Amino acid sequence: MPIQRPAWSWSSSSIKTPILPSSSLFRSINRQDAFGGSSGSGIKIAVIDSGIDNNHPAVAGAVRGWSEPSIKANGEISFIEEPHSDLSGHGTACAGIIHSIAPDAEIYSVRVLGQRLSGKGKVFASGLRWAIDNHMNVINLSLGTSNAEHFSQFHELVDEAYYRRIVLVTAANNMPIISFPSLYSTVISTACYDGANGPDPLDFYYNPNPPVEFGANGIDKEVAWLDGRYVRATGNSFAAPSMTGVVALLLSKHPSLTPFQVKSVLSSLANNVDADA
Amino acid sequence: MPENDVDLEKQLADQRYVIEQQRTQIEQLLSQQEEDGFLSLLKQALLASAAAEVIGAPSSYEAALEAVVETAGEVLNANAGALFLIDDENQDLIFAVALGEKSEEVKEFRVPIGQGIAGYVAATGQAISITDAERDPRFDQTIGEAIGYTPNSILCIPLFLKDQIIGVLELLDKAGGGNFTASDMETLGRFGSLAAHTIEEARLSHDVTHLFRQLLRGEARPFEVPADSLNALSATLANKSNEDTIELAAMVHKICQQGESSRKLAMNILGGLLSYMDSKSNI
Repeated sequence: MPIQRPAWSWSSSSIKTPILPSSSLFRSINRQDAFGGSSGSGIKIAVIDSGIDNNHPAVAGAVRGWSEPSIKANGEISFIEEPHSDLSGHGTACAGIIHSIAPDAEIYSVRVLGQRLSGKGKVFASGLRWAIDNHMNVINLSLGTSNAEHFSQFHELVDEAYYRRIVLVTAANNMPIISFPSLYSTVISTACYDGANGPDPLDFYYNPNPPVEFGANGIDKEVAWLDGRYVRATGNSFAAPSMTGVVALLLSKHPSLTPFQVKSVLSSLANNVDADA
Repeated sequence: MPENDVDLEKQLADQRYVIEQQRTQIEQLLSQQEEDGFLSLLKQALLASAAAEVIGAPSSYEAALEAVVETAGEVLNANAGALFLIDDENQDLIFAVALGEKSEEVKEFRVPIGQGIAGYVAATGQAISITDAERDPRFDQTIGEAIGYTPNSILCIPLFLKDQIIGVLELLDKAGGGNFTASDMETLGRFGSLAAHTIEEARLSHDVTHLFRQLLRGEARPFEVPADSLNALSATLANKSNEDTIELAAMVHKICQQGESSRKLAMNILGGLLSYMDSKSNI
């Protein structure tokens, strides 16, 4: 196996998380300069998920484009770019969280979750390919695959996104299993974290023991769901969109940042990284 | 070398020989599925090992599934629970176990992959927890109505076997109120890994036992035996723990060959051992 450790490497409890000292190199970075006043304008965000209900009040028409990969009988992939619905509510939940943090960002719904499991990895990878080719700035992946057959394919796609300055934000799996792309080092791997459950939606934490690198609000969170409703839910799936929103704010204000610079800025701005420690 | 050790070594060598013979016979069976002698060969293998009676009781599979949900419910103090298994053929979820008043009525209940909480968890492999589920009527339709229970909170995890999802485990409502916490999700996640292996072991044993019984009763012709059942049989025999089971079966078989008194002695000893284990587990 190419990977030896599970993605699920961070307890969701803040009790065990130390305050980390900030390097003097990064001490001048602060939240106001990083994303103060930003609304995410000019940033394109792909939400690769179960579809998005664009009429949901939490999304408020923020979806500007649609794509659904479809496998033809001959194995070729085509993309249906007509508006689609959300099959489970999960994609709408993610889009609603992103929109609440970065209201002017453009959201693109890439629906890869259908009603069948077969071919899922190929469809998922095609959705990621579409997002890369269509010049997204940030891609939210509140899903993953544990199928080792797709390891190389996803690795190549994630590397390509990285070199094209596209930031991938992924939800680490809540289960003690190997799951990617959240295990790859270039992504912003996120888990839900009770320390980030305060009133500030921009709270996030840095985990000194990766592969999960960031913790955000995803516990008992009010999220948009089907039919214009809301539910209260817990899961890493809902922490990742919070980080996606923060990245959108940052990139909107500093569009020249590369993915590794974004990660450095985020780690230095995390709630548990203290410039005075 | 003491005489007892020599006897024991010879006995072990005999048992290994029996196991090897069984393996060879199974391999022959796999390569001769279409041939006329298939059924008699399989019967021969089974009778030699007596494994058909040892591997598992007919109800062990269902009991294992129920035990998974019951244990999860007890550990996390849940009011109710449900287990869905993925039907590879139809690509949907089958309601396998529901702990609740209407559990029998939902045995054939199916949920499309991707739909609802269970369907989403099956499609993504991501565990989620919903706190105020009753606010969305979809949850009532899939779970609540099925088991005569309207949940407030749902904790739902995928069951992974290696890198494949074989099912979804759902717990409904914490006893005495309150919500499932992130810590509950962690706990259930760890349990889910064990549960998936338990389910698979029970399924393999169930399939093999069922196949054996069918063949021994002449209910299935050799060419009707699905290849995957034979593969399951082969995999079961190749598994280390099942190797032990077959070795145990071979020992019992040899004891029984010694005559009535030996058979009764073995039954008494094993019965006593089982009673002891039962009493220990009840403490």
